[in-house]
Amino acid sequence: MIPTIAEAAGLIAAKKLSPVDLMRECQARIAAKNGELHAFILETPERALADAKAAEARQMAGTLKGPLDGIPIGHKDIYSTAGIRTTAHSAQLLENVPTEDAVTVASWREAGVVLLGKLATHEFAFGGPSFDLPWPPARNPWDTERFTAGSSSGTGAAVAAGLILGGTGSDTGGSIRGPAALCGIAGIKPTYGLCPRTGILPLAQTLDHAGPMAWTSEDCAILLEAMAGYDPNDPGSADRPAPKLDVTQDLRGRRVGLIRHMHEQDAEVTPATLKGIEETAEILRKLGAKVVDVTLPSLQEFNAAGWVTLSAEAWAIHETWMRSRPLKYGEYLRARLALGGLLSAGDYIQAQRKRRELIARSFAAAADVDLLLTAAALGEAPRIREVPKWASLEKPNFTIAFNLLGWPALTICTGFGDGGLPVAAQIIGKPWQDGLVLAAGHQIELENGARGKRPA
Amino acid sequence: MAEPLSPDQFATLMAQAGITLPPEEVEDLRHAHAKLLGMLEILRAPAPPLAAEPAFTFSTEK
Repeated sequence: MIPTIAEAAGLIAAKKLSPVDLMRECQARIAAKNGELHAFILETPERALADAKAAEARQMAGTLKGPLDGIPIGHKDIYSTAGIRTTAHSAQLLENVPTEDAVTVASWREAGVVLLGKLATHEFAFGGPSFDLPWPPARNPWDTERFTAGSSSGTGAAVAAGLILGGTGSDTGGSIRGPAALCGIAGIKPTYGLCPRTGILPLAQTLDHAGPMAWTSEDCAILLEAMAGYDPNDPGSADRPAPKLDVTQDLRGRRVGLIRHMHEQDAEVTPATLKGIEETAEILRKLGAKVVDVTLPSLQEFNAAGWVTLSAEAWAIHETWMRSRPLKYGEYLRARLALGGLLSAGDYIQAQRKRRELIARSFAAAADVDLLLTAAALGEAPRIREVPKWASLEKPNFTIAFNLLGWPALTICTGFGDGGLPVAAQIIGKPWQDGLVLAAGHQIELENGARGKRPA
Repeated sequence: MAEPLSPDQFATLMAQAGITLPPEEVEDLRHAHAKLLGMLEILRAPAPPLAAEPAFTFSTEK
């Protein structure tokens, strides 16, 4: 049985589970499964052993640092790791070995995690699924012919398969919540400014969020507490105390806005996804919340402002290499970045005007609710070889809206579709209500039964 | 959906941006660009008034 982080932490604290044994169990699963999942693009066995032995020494001495001490994790390969290759899954950075950890990597290291390695990503968190990169794309553990979604594809696959108990993701247009949905795990894009981004390779600075992915919302809360905080070197970081995230807080009397138009009109989800959302709403009612319909701006408006913003900012980051060595990118990323290069300054400014309008309209629409509920993805994972190159331009997604707003948004698994693959819902909160969002996710997971089934 | 630019118009736009792609990728990008043009129409419809809120605020504090 693969423990959650909360379960493992309890066993480690009680001296009933050795961090070294736990690490070896994960490594055994990596040895058995990574050949077909491609979730890890670099393993760090010596570092893992050193981390696990240090945690075990603290366990024996009674000086454990907290619930992450001795917990096996992995980092998405856009997170800088001192002395460990960090490539963004790209030929552009094959030789890149950072000298410093990203701030969030350092925070988890200080919390005592055991680093098992670096995880697959879409190239620079934007180009995928690609088959022309130095490593193949990650595969979905529920069916290895299926897509993981992206860009935190390796983290999604590794957590679902139990290769790690938790890991880092990043989310610019849904890159945590998409893989969480298709891989059947939990993943939160925190409030913009909550988690430091220094040392994480950027995609689009006004949309980029760092965040955790794990099997449960409770585990995400543990991981998020350890990576949140003020970072004076990140201009987007909020100078406020790191929050205490209480997933047991009472939901009675809370008001939940069901954004029905997003998943029934703006985009049409599968029957299994719709059923999961309706069942989630019913669970929230049983927990004492009041569920009401709310109307936000349309997904089409959010997607227009979101993709123009993302494309323009990504181009600005990559334009030098796009002009000097474009063929070192994979085809998908090269094409997506090029599209950003074709935008005008006026286009970008119009996107920012629309963004401010969308923020104002969304605050007004959600004024009387504490949480929001909609889909996280259309349905079950498609076949990886059938994912359209321009899917994000063809159908609106459910996630980039909350990157534009900066509001915390969590994906949870709600059950399984006709194909036996996971389906999901998205729970959203107001800024800095990350704890309430995670509490809702945790209490729904306790009721919906979807956490009882792992990939074979 | 917006119409794609003509191949000549698109080649000019690419040249202005300083982008050189393998020829076999350009035609695909021209059609994808039309989808982006559709998004730009959404951003500009209805046209915001000239006195609309400035896109950016500038703070001397940060």
